Order: sequence, then C-alpha cells, then structure tokens
Amino acid sequence: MRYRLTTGFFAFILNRLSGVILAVFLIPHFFSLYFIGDAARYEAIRGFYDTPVMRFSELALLGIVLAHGLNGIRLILLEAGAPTRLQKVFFWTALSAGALILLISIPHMMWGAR
Amino acid sequence: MDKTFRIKRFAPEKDNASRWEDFSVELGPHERLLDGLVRIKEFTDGSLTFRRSCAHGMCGSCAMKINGRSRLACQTLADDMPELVIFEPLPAFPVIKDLVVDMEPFFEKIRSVMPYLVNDEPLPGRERPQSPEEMEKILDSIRCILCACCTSSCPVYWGDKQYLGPAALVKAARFVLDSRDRGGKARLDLVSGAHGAARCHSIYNCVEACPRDIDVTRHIAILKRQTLKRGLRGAR
Amino acid sequence: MVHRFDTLVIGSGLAGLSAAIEASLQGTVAVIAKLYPTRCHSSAAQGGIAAALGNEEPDSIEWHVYDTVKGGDYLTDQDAAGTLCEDAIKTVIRLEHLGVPFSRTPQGKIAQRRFGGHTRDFGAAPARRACYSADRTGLAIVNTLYEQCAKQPVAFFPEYHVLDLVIEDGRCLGAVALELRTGEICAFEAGATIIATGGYGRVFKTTSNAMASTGDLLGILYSKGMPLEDMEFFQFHPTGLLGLGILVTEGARGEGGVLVNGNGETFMEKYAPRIKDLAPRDMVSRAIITEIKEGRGIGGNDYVYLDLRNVPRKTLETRLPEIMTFSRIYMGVDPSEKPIPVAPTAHYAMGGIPTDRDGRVLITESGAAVEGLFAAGECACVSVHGANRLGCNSLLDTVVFGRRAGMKAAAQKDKSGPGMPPGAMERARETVSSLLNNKGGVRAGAIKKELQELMMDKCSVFRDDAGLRAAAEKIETIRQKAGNISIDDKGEKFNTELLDAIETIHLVNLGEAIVHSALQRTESRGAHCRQDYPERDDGNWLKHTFIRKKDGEIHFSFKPVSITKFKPEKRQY
Repeated sequence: MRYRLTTGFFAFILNRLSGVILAVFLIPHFFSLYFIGDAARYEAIRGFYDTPVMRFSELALLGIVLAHGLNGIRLILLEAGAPTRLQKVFFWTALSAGALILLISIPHMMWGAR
Repeated sequence: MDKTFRIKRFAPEKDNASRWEDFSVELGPHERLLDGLVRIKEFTDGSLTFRRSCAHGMCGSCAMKINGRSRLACQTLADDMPELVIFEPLPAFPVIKDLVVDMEPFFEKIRSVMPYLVNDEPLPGRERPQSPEEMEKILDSIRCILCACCTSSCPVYWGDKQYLGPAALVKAARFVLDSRDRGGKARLDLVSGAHGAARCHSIYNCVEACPRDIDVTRHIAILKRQTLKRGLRGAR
Repeated sequence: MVHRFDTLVIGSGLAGLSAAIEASLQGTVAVIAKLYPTRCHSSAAQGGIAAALGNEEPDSIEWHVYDTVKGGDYLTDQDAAGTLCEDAIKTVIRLEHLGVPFSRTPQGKIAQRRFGGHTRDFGAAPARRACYSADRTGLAIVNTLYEQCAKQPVAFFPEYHVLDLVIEDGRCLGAVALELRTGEICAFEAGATIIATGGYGRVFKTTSNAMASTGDLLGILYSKGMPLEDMEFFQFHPTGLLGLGILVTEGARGEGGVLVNGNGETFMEKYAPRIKDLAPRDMVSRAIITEIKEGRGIGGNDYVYLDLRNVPRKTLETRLPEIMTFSRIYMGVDPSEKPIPVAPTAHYAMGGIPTDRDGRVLITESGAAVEGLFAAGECACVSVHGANRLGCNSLLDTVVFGRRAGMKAAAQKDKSGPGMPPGAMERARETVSSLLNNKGGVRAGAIKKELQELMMDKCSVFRDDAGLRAAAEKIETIRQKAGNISIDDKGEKFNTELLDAIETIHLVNLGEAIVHSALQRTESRGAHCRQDYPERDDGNWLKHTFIRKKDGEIHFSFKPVSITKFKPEKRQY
C-alpha cells in the first residue's frame, strides 16, 4: 500500500519498530541475568559489556528506549484528552528531547568509568 | 493550466490487473479536479468510471486517492496541485471499476454501531430540551458525510478489515455524546471489542484525510476512555 | 431478477427516506436509488426547515400560510399550503425526537432564524421561522432519517438506476431498474410505488444542483405521455458562488449579510423596501440581473457581492461554517474579510409530477389518479410552492409530503399488486442494448452542454417570446442529435456512461417541457418572468399548466388554483 507518509504514521512505525526491538532484546537480557551465578561470572559478564561494541549497543538501546518511552507518553497524553492539533508538536518534541538526552549521554556511555 | 491526470484503471470485463493511463486536461483557475475527470469522461474517454454527485463536498461520492492520500476530487482545486496528478481508487476497499470501490464493507460497519438515537422515555409534546453547550459536543461529529476518506486512510484498517474504522467510531461517538441519547451502554459494548475503539493506534491519518475537518481521533479517544471506565467498573 | 415489496420508493433523499420510514410501519419497503442513500442532494440543503414554532418570537401557522401563498405569487394551492404549514410544527418536533441535531436557543429550544419571504403579521417584518442546524440542516436531517432506516425493515438497493415505470390500465405495478454494479436488469414489483427523485437543475448550465439531479422519473413519465405541472416555474437562487453555482444560503442574509453592486451600494431597498435583502428569491435574482444588465455588476462583470463583513465573526463561525469553508476553498475568500462574488444559480423546480395532498400522481387536471403511484418532494408539484418557493419550505415539503405519501402508499389494500407483465424487463433490455450499440458518434456530454447553455441563455431568470421560440426550435434539433448518442464503454458492469446518456435524454425532454410551458404562459408570475409580458395576469393565468406530449404533439390543459383564504393581491415586500 503506497500512501503518503504522515507524521502520525511515521511515529506509529517508529513505535512499532522500537517496541519489537525491545521485546527481542529482553530475551538475551534475561538470559544474561540468569547466568550471573557468582562473583566471577558477574565480573566476566561486566567485562564483556565494557567492550566498545557493547558500549555502542547500549547507547543504541538507550535511543530506542527513549524513542519508545517518550512517544508512549505522547500517546498517553493524547488519548487522555490532549488536543489533536498538538500531536505533531508532541512527536517532534519527544523526538528532540530523546535526541538531546542521547547526545548528553554519549560521553558517559562510550567512555565513562564503569 | 495543463495538467496530466495519471489514472489507475481497471475494467472488470477486460483487465486482469490494473493499468495506468495518462490524460492531459486543461483546467481553469477555479476548477476542481472533479471538473477535469468529468471533462475526460464527457469528451475524451467515456469509459472512465468514478462516482460523483454534488461537486462541493457535501455528498461524499468522489472520495478517491489523489497524489497518495484519500480526499474528495470536488474539494481539491487544480491550482493547488502539481502538474502531475495521480488518481487511484480509495485504498483498502475492493475495486469494482477504475476509481469505483465497493462501499458495502464501509456501510456495514456504520450500521453495526447502533447508529441512531435511542431514547424510550415518554415523548414530550415539544422538542426535547438540549442546551447549546450540550449540542456543541456533537457539533463536530454530525458533520460527517460518510465519504470513507478516514477509514480508507487508516493503517489499522488496512491490516484488519474487521476493525470498525474511524467513520463508524465517529458515528458511535456522535450518539454517545448526544445528551438526548440513552443507548450509551449497549453502544459502548459494541465498540469495545478487539476490533473496536481500542484497536486505534492514534496515527491521525484519518484527521488529515477528513475533508470535513472532523477531529476523528479525539472522538475515538473519547470512546476509548469511556469503554475503559466501563470495563474497570465491570471488573470491580 | 424480480424483487417484490409492498411499497417501492424510488429515490433516497429526504422525501424518499421519510416515505420509507412511514411505509415501513405497515409493510415491507424497498428504497432504490442511483446513489448511496446519504449521497442525495437533500444533504446540500443549508439554511433550514420552516415551522411556526414561535421559539424565538411570536409566530402563527396563518402567517406561514400567507407567506407561502404570497411567496408563490398566488399560484400556490392554498389548501395544500395549509396542510404544509399545519403539519410543519409536528413534523419538526418529530424530526427532533428522531434525533436531528438542531441548533438551540439558550433555553434549550430549537433555534430559529430569519429567511427570505418569511414574515410576521402578514408581511409587516421578517420573522424567525427557519429551524436550522448551523448551515447544514439538510445533512443533519438526511443523516438522522438514514439512521432511523437502519432500525426499520427498509431494504436499500443503492446504485440501481430506474429505466422504466410499469403502468398498465391506469395502475402502477412497479419499476424496472439497472443494477449498476452488475449491469443486470431487475424488476421491482410493488403494490405502491413512490417517486421521490428530486429536482432537475442540471438542465441549466449554472446550478446549485448535484450532477445526479437530472429528473429521470419525470422524463420517464413525460415520454409516456403523462402530464407534468407548472414546468415553466424554475427558481434561480440569487446567491450562487460565481461560476460554480454552489449555493450560499439565504441564511447568510438572514444573519445580516447584504448584497452590494459595483458602485459599492446596497440595492435591495429599491426592489423590496420593507424587507430588502430578505425578499423572496425570484425578486432578489431579478434584482441582481437587473443591476448587472444596467452596468452595475462588480467591475461591470456578471456578478455582485454578498457582503458578510458586518456579521460578527463568531456568528459566521457558529451559524454559517459551511459557507465560510466553501468561500475559502472555492473562491479563496474569507467572508469576514472580503465580500463573496455571487450570481443567480438554477436551484429549484416548483413544477413537476402533479399530485394531490396525499402524493397520488394525477393524470388529469380534474384529479384522476394513477392507482398505486405516488410522488413527493421536489419531483412532485402539489402545488405548495406556486410560482416561487420560499426558502426552508422545500425541506418541509419533502418531509411532510414524503410522510403523507408513505402513509397512503402503505395503506393500499392490494399490497402485492398483480405483478410485472411479461415483456417489461425485455423492453428495458432493448433500450439499453440499442443505446450501447448506437454508432451515431454523438457524445452525451456535447448534447448536455449544448442544452444547458441554451436553457441558461434563453430560459432562465428573464424570458421573452423570441428567445423561447428560438430555444424551442433548437431543442428540437438537440433532440434529434440525441438520437445518435453513442457510448465508448461497452462493458456491462458499472457503466456510468450509459447512465449519463439516459440522463441526458431525460434532460432534453424536460428542457422541452420547460421551454414550451414558458412560451405559452404570457404573463410574469413568481419565478417566470416574461419581459414581453411584465405584469401578472390573474384574469387569464391564475391557473396551473399541465403539459403532456402525445404522438410527438405537445398539449396543454389547465387546472384552477385552490384559493381558500387569501385573495390575490399585488405582491410587494
């Protein structure tokens, strides 16, 4: 179906995509929590997460959580009665706020002490 | 001004699949796209098929997909469009011929939400009183002309043909919000199922497509809140 | 396929829906229409529905009757007008009970506003009589009645085009229709058939009417040699959007709008000193054309301005929102900042299928009726509108007389009727196939254009002998050309080109009936204005015209006007 991409539809696709990614992410996440048996294991897993690849992955995860969470708040507000004319404003606000938080987090997430 | 009308065509007796055909049309400054379609039909190719009637956005006949969005051909001025205008049948409904789609699935949804005033109280000799403030609550929804621009633009409806869709939900909300109506509970039950109001993802395509500027999603949100309240009360 | 119902309603506008709801209380009902029910042109009615409710200021049924009679230039049948205005009050109240969302007064009553030709104290001053739902009253009522039909045993057959009415030995047996989607010819047998197909404004070039307003059933009756009444009376609404003819409601003037000419002057006080811009439509249309002809159009052009700048913005937004939108979309004008360019537009047919007050279709001027055949709404001529209809009386007409016809039709004793005679469907099939196979090479669109331009030029607001004679001759040649209409689309399914051709042939017939009726009436009355006979002539012409065509010859006969209370007087406002 080719239909003009509207802001609302873009927001919907973003929300769906981020939702699916988060759901898929949760599976290995629970596994890794499950395998923390003792202090040594914990240290090993921590070391693994300290590699540049994993640090970047975590940054991406933060971005996805922000996108999903902030757009979720937008939807809750709108469905609770916030005026429709604000839907696009809300979306771009949520997106910019998410981007800003992400940007501020980069130094800590990538190079900060763990 | 010269325009090229690129029209997606389908003749049920001849074509196995739809095909594109270009027409060039000259349109004056105040002319509507519908005028162009009529001119093609009357003077170039009589077999071009589309619905039309009032030609000023009150009857809802000429809803179609124009340059990628659902809208009324009679409410779109040629001046406001680029040189190439692409016409397709309304999305999500079965195509009958050229720009004509089967509207039955649409009207079936409208009929399924108890789309009429319910009030068994004894009739007063005069009109039932309603304050201007109470009337204002239905002012938006009573403007609907059932053109199906909203429902055809809804990605949820594209994926779930059992979904009641924006138009039927607006119709339900029109009565839920009417101070004279007493059918609220039964009607809320009708729109509370898996294919009812809760299915809406607040995508707002309907609001952008509505040629009558109805705040469609707001009406669906009202139904969501009321069905939620009713559900919570029922659970207690 | 053969369908059988107690009552068959043709047309799904307000008259048809009202009739169907009423008839469904007493039996099975089918509504067939060439459009989907809510696509009817009743939806485009803006201003309101008249009833002497007296909600905003004192009013009386008698004043309403007087205004209707005077508005119709005394050609109105006063017994019928009495029925209309008496039924008005309970009709509007009933509509409200069914759910029509009327605009309200602060006390919660149905709000009422001023409208052209509606006065208090027999013409003393404008009266608030129009009940409205902003400026979309038609849409509000159509939606409500359609919704009510969902509750009743009313079977809808949308997109069925009636090809023929079957009338044998003075009795209507039903109709033959083309199912658009399949191309199949179907028969609808019924004990009673109600025609409610609306107007035929598409006979003119500039019209407020829908493209579907082509008077098909009138065309069918006329070609069967049955009479049509008062066809010379066609109302031009004074304020159509320039060029497009889209209606701008009289309610705009009811809320305080004024007409302004090219010199920037208001001019209606010259023509109707007492009620000025709220004079009846025929007078205002003539006033506008006169201003234009005397060189006082805007910039010398063929239009004037409707100025709404003195109406508060809030009023415009709450009571005239559609007008605001139309002006913005189609004219690029915001009425609160700039005046709207307007010119008269063909709007309403006072004439039509002769009926009595119960909707029975009359076949002679002395009152003989076709058994089992009814008509209501704009296609019918009761005649409550006489020579000129008042605003807001048409919605009222459709609902009042639609209900009455529905009631009478359903009360027919012999509900099933004797059934279709063999050959009825065959005849329709032949009509269709001869049209599909015609190789004459003439386009229906070209015929329609020629007819519409001719009617606009020679037979609109002002008429005269020479013009009408020329028009009559020209229509004859157009008719001959129409015999050669051929069709590109040879497909069976959803062949709208075939319907265009059929509609065009009906329009040509109706154009002929209008021109000839106008030619023989040598007086000026209401909407029929003969420049060569500028005065009303009650001595010779206080009577209804019946036109019929038998064996290619046009015949006229006349029916006296029912005058009960109001003796004809000079019509001044």
